[in-house]
Formats: sequence, structure tokens, C-alpha cells
Amino acid sequence: MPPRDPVTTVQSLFVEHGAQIRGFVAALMPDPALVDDVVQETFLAISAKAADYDPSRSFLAWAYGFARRKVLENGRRARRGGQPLPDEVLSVLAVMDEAETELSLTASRLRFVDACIDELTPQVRRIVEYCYRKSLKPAEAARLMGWTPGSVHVALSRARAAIRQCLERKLAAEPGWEAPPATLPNPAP
Amino acid sequence: MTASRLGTLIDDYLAGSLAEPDRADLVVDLLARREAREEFWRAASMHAVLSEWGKAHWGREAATAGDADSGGLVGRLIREAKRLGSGSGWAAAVAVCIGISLAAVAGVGAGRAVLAPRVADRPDPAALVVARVTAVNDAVWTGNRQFREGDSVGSGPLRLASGVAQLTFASGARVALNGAVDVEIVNAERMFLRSGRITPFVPPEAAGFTVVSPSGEVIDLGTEFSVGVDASGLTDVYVIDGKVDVAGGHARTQPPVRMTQGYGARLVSPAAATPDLTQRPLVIDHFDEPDAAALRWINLTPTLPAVVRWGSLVIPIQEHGDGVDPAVRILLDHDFTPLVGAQSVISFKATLPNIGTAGVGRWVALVVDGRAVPDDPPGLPLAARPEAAAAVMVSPRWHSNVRIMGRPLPRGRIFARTEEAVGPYQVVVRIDDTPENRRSAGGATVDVMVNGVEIATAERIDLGASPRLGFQTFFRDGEGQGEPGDTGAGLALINDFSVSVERPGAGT
Repeated sequence: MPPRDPVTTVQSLFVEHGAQIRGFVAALMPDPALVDDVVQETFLAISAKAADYDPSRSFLAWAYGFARRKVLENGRRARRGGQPLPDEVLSVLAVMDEAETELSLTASRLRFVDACIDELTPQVRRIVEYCYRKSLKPAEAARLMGWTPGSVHVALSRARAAIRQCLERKLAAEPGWEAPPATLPNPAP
Repeated sequence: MTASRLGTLIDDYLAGSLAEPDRADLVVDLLARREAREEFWRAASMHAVLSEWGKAHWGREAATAGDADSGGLVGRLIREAKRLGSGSGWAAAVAVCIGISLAAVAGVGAGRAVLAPRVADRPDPAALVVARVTAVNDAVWTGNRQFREGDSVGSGPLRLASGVAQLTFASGARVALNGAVDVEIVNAERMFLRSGRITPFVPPEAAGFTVVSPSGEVIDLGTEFSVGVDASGLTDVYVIDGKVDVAGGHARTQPPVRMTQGYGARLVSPAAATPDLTQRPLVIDHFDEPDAAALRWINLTPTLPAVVRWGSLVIPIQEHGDGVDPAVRILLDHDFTPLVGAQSVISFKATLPNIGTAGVGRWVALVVDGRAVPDDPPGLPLAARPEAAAAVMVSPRWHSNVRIMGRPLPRGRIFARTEEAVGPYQVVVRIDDTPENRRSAGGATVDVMVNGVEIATAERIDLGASPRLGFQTFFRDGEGQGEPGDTGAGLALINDFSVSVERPGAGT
């Protein structure tokens, strides 16, 4: 079988790791309206530099470098308060083992999110749906709920923590489940 | 930086609301501490998972809705899925939505790819739509049509019988309708409120959005306000944030009154040219030093001092022990004579610290202690929502028809468990306008008890003679009533609860 060309290789890897790359961008790009743009631009940037990819290195670490730069570039377009963190912080965050560990669980966690959200109290579940399913800003959700924005912020924080505990519980109960290793090969691009 | 503050900054960042100087503080901490970065990833990764979950749900709903207006990407993807003839329509559409966004991109390799679908939270101006329904919550509409999220709304009448709905106008203004409400959509910048209550939020680009009522106009200057019209056409306006211009009548014989945050106005009739300012700054003016007459303590460990600052009262967090209730009671005793006979709203805000509230069932009680014994109609006209889990505690001689979690509350002290944040609610306290009450040092009191919570009094309340009205609220760990099976997980956060003082028989 003839070797695949580099573009096909990196694009296939991008699709394979799409959930993690999206997760990386969504975590670092506060303005959700720009996440899709950043993911798409990251894909295009990786495709353009496909020849530079070294298969012996971590694709994700390499891709995160591009994603990080696109997050910064698009930060200028973000709405007020939605600007990403400065590059020196994103650089440090991107190379952390925790980033790899957390984001590698994205696909697994997604399988149980519905069930974990069902375990939330009705009011908190409604806030999660407003802010994540309907992409309302916390202030808008607060108006619909008759709450203050501060209450919604706190409720979201609690919800994320509760959902996280639930996901860990459900994943741990899966037969054959193994937590990802704490350290992954992670050379920076 | 404390864990609590770091958590708050991270939450604000993920919500897209982190501004300077908090942003700088977060940057410094993330650079300095690995623990902070680990915490960041724990929160941010969950945020990312939920964002993906939200998108997947949006895709399913868009596919099943089959909205003919989806002439854009989603519409094309749905039509493609149907053309492919897959057995499960929505599953195929989801696969198409997600798969095409990546697989087609992989195949193209050049040029801008098809973007993944995103939730539209603004109407497309090019579509000449006046407004769209952008959120609904148990909404029941009057008429033949039940509007769903995403439906467009044109000029004309709109009646919401119950529930809540949000309209987003082409101008950018977002209006929350609280059923029952009767409105008329005029155009993208103007609507008529016939009856009921709405809460417009007007971003700066939509400044000038106007709400017209039977008795006047409210012109928004980029802000958030609440406006309600009762059956007689009387209009109340309360500015939540920013500024509005309020004009009485429709002839514009007088310049409008500019209202800012915290102020209210009443438009009495179409003939009244000047709005009646019903809410003026109320000042509490002796919180800057301990005052034995104003402050009473119970169950307070004498060794723990209380620090009273201007406009606020800091209560030290107490340790549990010796079976003593961890409740601190502060009676703020003030005179509300100037307000008797008029309806006023005094707002207080209390914020719990994050530490110590996680996973603990906290209790909120608002004590209403009055000397008067009105033979009320079945209950005070309380606006507390049954699901709010906020309680009105009543003294033995007051009645209440508050139902908490579907169950009626007995008279006397009532506790309710706060599983979730408690939103704004109102308690109407009727002070019997009798000579005895005017002379008494009690009158109607609403007690505020605090357990380790800082109360920031946003308003100053003028002092005067009796009757007096005080405020008390407290938080108590662990006890009280709750639904069987309550996990206790959640938070207790009280914001902006109000007390309305009115003359008996004034009605609400």
C-alpha cells in the first residue's frame, strides 16, 4: 500500500481526535460563538503545514500548538469579556499533562452526560440547558429563571462539579475501564 | 489566591464575563501555580464536555424540527439526510451534521470548510423578521399558535398565558415575557405592553428600544428594566441596570424622566405627564458602629466580634459545637413610617462564600414578625415561587399561603431547604395602620439572620418613628424540612429578596 500523503494523514488524525481538539478550543476560547471558527481554522492551518508533521511525535500536542495560536488570533473578535487568556498562559496550559488527560476523556464522558444531567435538580438542569444547549449567556438565563446572574454563575459552577463527579463514577463502573495515564508523551511543537 | 476566588475567576472566564482587573489576577495565578492550572483544566474540560453535549442536542433538535426556515447549513444538511433515505431521520441528520462538518472538510482540504451548526441567538436582519422566540420555559400561548423556540414573530398581538418566553428582536433587544402578559409587537424597536410584566434587556446597539404602555413610554438607553401594567393601565417601571427614560402620557408635553439603576417609577394615567417616582434611595444610616438598640444577637459566641461597616454587616462564621445552632440573629430595627400607606420595595442582597457551602443543605428563612393581626384573605399575596425553596417565616399571628415544594406551610416558624440558588422574590408585609402600631416599637418586622454571611445593604433607609420594620434572614445547616431523597447537594445563595410594605387593603 502506498504511503498516504501528509495532508490526508494529518486530516485523518484531526478527524480522529476532533473531540479533543474541539474540547481544547472550547476550554480556552470563552466565546462559544467562535469555537467553530477556531476549530475550522486550526484544521486549515494543520493541513497547510502537513508536511511538517513528524509522526513520531504526539499529534495532539502538535495540533494544540496550532489551536492555541488560532485561539489568540480570534480573541480579537470575541465579545467583551470573552477574550482568551494571553499567550504565555495558553502556552503553559497547553503543555500540561492535565490537558491531555482531561481532554482524552471527552468522548468517553459524552456518553454519560445525559444521564448525569438528569441527576441534577430541575432548576439547575434548566440552567445547564439554557447555557449549554441553547447557548444563552448567564445573564439571559438569569432573566428567564428570575435569578440574578451571580446565582446562575454559581449554579453552573456547582453543576459542572456535580456532573464531573457523576461522570467519574459512571466511567469507573464501566467494565474494563482504565483511567488514562497521568503522563503522555508531549513534546511541544 | 484562595480556592474560592480562583474558582470564581475561572467560572467568570468560562462564562465570558471576566474583566480587568480580575483577568490579570487569574493570569498571575495561572502562571504562578500548577495547582491553579490543574483546577483550570478540571473546570474547563467539563465546560468543553457540556459545550459538545449542547451542540449534539442542538443538532438533534434542528434535525427533528425540520424547520422550513432553515435555509442555511442546517436545512441543507437535513435535506441531504432525507435524500440519503436513512432509516432513522434524526440519527442520520446528526451524523450528517457532525460527520460532514469534519469528513467533508477532510475531503476538501482547501478553502473554507462547511461550518458546524451553531445555535442562532439572533434573528437574521436580512430575513426581515421583527423578532424570534429564542427561549421558552413552560410557555402556554393564547390563541391558535403555540410558539416554539426559533419561531419568528411578526408585528401584531402576542399573548402569553403562562410560563416564560424570550423574544429577540431584530434590533438586538431581548425581552423576557412573564405570563400572563399581553403585548403588541410594533416593529423591531418598539412594542406595546397592554398588561402583564416584561423584562427587556437592551444591549447598547439596540439603545432606543421603546416599550409603550397605556399610560406612557419607557425608552431604553441600553439597559435592563422591568415594566408591568396592571388591569387599570397603571404602569410600574423598575430599572435593574443602566438607564431608561420614562415619559408619562403620550403627548410628550414634558421631558422624560431619566431613571437609573435601583429607581422605580409609576405612570398613573395617560393624562399624567410626569412619572411618579415610587422608589427613592432609602438610606440605612447607622450601620457604621455597633448600636445596641439596632442590633440584637442570639446564639452568638461572645468571643466572636461583629464588625459593622457602612451599609453592611459582617458576621463572623461560627463554629458548630455544643449543640448550639450556628445561627446568628441580627435584628435591624428601623422605622418605616414614611412608607406606610405606600408600596415600596426594599432590596437586600446576601452572598454566601463558596467555601463551606458545597454539598451542604443550607436553609433560608425570612422571618415576618408582626403585631398586627389582619384577617387576611387566604394568605398574603406572596410572589414566592413554590419551587424557589425560599420560605417566609411568619410569626404566630400572621397567615401565609406559601407553598414550598408543593406543600402548604404551617403558621409559625417555617424553614425551607435551599437546594438551589434562591432567586428574587417578594414578601408583602401588611402593617395594620392602627394607632397602637404607630406607637409600638414592634409593628411588623422582617428579621434578617445571618450565619457567616456578609450582608451588603444596597439601600439606605431613613429612620423615623414607629411602626418599625426590621429584616432578618438566616442560614442554618442541616435542619429543616425537605423532600425525601434530597441529596443536599447544591448551593444556597440569596439575592435581591425584597419586602414590600403596604397599607392593608391596598391590594397588590
